Amino acid sequence: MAESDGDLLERIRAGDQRALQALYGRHHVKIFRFALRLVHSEASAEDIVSEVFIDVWRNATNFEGRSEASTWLLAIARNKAYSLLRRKKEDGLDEEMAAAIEDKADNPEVVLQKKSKGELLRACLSGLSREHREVIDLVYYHDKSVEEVALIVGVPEGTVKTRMFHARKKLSQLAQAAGIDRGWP
Amino acid sequence: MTPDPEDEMDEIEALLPWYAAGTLDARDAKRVDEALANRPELGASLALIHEDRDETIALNERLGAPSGAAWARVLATAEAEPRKPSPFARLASLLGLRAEANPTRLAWAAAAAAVVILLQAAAIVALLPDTRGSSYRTASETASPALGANVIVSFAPDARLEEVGAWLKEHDAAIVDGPRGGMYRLRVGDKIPSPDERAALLAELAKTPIVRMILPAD
Repeated sequence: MAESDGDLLERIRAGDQRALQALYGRHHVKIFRFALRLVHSEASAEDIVSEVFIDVWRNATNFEGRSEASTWLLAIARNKAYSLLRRKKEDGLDEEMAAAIEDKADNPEVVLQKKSKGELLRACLSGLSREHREVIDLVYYHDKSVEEVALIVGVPEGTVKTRMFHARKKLSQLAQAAGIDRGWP
Repeated sequence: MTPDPEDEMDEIEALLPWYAAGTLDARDAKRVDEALANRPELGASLALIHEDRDETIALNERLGAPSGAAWARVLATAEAEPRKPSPFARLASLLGLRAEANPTRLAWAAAAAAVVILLQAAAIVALLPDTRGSSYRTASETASPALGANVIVSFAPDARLEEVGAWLKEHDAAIVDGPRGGMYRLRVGDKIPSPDERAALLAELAKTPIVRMILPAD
């Protein structure tokens, strides 16, 4: 039977590099994708992945086992992504604007011509604000519970539910603008 | 107080994404099940959520993966900064526990282990007069150069006093120092062994389950 993440972290605490490699193997792709959706730069997302697992190596004792290891890793990745975004903002680069430029080819109006509902919806998902993308990804792709999203994002559970509700509403509005009437809200 | 029907409906609607993902706890999942049976409009919302979820998964799955350079950086750091396990991690490992699993359990286990070690140390020190005469002396205090193989040993926590005494006698061994950090220094036999003899002796001494660890000390 495969070792649990908790067992791997126990071995990492004892200085076992192979356990670190095993934990990396399990989670690096999802951490990369989560970070990429936040920072919109593959190079930055890759740096975040490295930094997350370097933190794990240095601070494995900080993992208290009250949540899944993946929740802890996503929370670290999120902190690093937002620190990076704050630094870039201070440097005068508006990431949302940069993201909008990068996503131009996939905005709902352009994709409308492709007439694929799936493509349209994916374009709408990319058109959401960072805050809304984040909660949607955590719930739908990373399968995180209300409590886990609250831990990762650092907000109360009630705020998580409200944010998810508004993200869905915004998604429906974007879809409607792209010609898909979903009848909700 | 009876919940406002509108609030209840909104709350159920808000829970649907987690219901679709299967990440609701049993109580909330049951509430959603009951609401779905009575409110057809919730079923339509749930269908949209499944659609959104499928596309979110498809979108993320197309994002690729980091290059090998990401792991190379992690590995370079791990090799440059080898970890020293914390005392708690070492203790947890020693006791066969997961340190993060339950700090209270670890603390109690540590306290219990400390009591066992103290009791064992007190018992083993009581062997000193039998093995070394009527007064305790360290090896450095002896007037003439001490012969025999010097080894450092730690005993299993459940080793009994009589077992240790019998084992010392069997191997013509005497405790000459300790306990220090749970370790004892022993002198075994009455001649300085060759390297091969010392290796064979260590292997022989390590055979018994009452010895947890043994190292050469010459």
